[in-house]
Amino acid sequence: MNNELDFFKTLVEKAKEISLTERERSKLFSAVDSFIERNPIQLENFVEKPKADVGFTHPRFFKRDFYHFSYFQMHGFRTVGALLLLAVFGTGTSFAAQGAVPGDILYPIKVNINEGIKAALLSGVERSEFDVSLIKTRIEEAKTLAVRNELSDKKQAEITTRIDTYVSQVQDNLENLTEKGDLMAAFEISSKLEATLEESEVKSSEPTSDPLTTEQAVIVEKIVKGPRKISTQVREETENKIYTLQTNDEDTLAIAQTKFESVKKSLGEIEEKIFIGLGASAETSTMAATTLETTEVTETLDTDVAIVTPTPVTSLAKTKTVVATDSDTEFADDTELSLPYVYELLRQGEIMMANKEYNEAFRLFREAYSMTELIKTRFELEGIDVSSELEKIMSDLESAVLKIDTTTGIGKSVQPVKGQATIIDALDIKSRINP
Amino acid sequence: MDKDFEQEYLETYKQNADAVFRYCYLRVSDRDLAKDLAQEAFMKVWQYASQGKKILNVRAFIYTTAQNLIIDQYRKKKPSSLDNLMEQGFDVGVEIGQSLMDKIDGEKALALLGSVPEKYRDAIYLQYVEGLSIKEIAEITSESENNISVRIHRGLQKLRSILRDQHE
Repeated sequence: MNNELDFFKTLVEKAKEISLTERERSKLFSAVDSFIERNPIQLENFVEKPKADVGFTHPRFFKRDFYHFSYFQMHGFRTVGALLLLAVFGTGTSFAAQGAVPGDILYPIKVNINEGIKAALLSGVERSEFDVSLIKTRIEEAKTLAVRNELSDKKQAEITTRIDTYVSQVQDNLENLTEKGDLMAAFEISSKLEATLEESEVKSSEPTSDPLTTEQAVIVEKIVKGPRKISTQVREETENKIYTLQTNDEDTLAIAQTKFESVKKSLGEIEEKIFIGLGASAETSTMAATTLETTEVTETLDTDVAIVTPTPVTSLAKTKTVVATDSDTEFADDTELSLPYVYELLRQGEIMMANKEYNEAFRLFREAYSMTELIKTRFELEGIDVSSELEKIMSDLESAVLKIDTTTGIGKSVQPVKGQATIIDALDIKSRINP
Repeated sequence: MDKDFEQEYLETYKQNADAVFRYCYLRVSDRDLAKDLAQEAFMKVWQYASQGKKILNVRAFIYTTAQNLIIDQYRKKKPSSLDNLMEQGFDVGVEIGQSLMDKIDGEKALALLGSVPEKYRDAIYLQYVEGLSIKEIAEITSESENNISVRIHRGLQKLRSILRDQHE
């Protein structure tokens, strides 16, 4: 043996010589086969028995049951879950169980079999996506029960516990993904988790598309509120980790771009609220806006002349945007919550993107996103009457448009499409408000 | 549908029977006993799985079961094992003839591995001969993956040292 490699080669070859003879193999196979035949699968042990008087399954038990299928997962039993399901309940039952809600006799089949099998067959990103989809399903179930006035404390607790379990599983997976450096996947999942809970959110103070009375909405709101808050924390923590890692690679670019799109979407929602407000007092608002436009342009030109190079965003927060308003509300006085600040963050972010400083762009877009979320929260939580704030918003938009026009010259030092998009957004709002 | 499960398990058996038998054989140095232990390991694992109990990695679980059976066997009677293979010689059950030189080299290789302390040897054997992952070995031996990595590293160092001595 000349070296280590030879040694291992010889070792493996030699070891592999130690094998069963054909006769022995056949004999052993027959013995194992007979044993299997005498000891068939005890299917009832694979299925959680619904408890007669309690429609609640503790998540630990629930989770453990899923792993009963792990053996089959490891060995290519990709279809085995479905087969087992067929064996036990037949397709009809499985399908019928899909519409079950807590308290229904088929509900344990839905969560422990239909969903359980699927969950056991998934891992990594796919598993988290599935967990997120289950959160949505549980909230829909809560809404269904609420409409029927059947959302008892016990059922609320069951749904809440299940949602908490899913959120916790997603959190664990996010940690794994960031540890492994799969930042894009972590970013997408954390955003998806938050977006899903945001979409499913019910605000008893606001009209919703769900057929819920205010009392019913209050109960559902209570269920969703906690996870919704956690989802934002999870998303922020994940983004902090991503930013801290400072990879500044293609993934960071994609992440920054996605964040930019999120800000735009959020701005669109604010815009929608503005127009709802506008509809309430269209004529007076338009007149007010027109008047403001004249004074605004002059003042802005005098004070906010050309910011050509990126300004540190910390100082931007202190940049007093010129506003012509007699409003003394907290919202109007809060410069950091002004829309021009959001636009300025976007503009700075775009410059960073053009300079391939993706991490910094990401940070700026994150801040812009937080701003838009705060603005939306103000609208929602403080019940600000949008129409009464319209003058302020209009003036903010005016100065934003002007600032961008006078500084960058529309996409001069930024990526043309994105730069224009930001400005066009602002111009579009302006033109729609004041055609 | 039970038949599908059974077929899959029998397939698992076919894929791993030789390796599990070899694992047992290298520890008990008794061909018949190794066959019995391998067979019993497969049966016990089926019994366990068929009851719906948790198995994360069936291959590792079969090895673990085999190992437990071997330990039981040790308790019953002190076996001859890889440690004294060199002294006793053993029937490798080769059906196709090998050259004498190959056979000597192969036996020597096994004997050299046998001279590495058991805890290192098992880890090296499972990884290099049976191709198990560190995670699987950790599962079988109830050790942490980190410990297994360390064992393999140290075992290899010892092997290198032995090989160097042999060469000189």
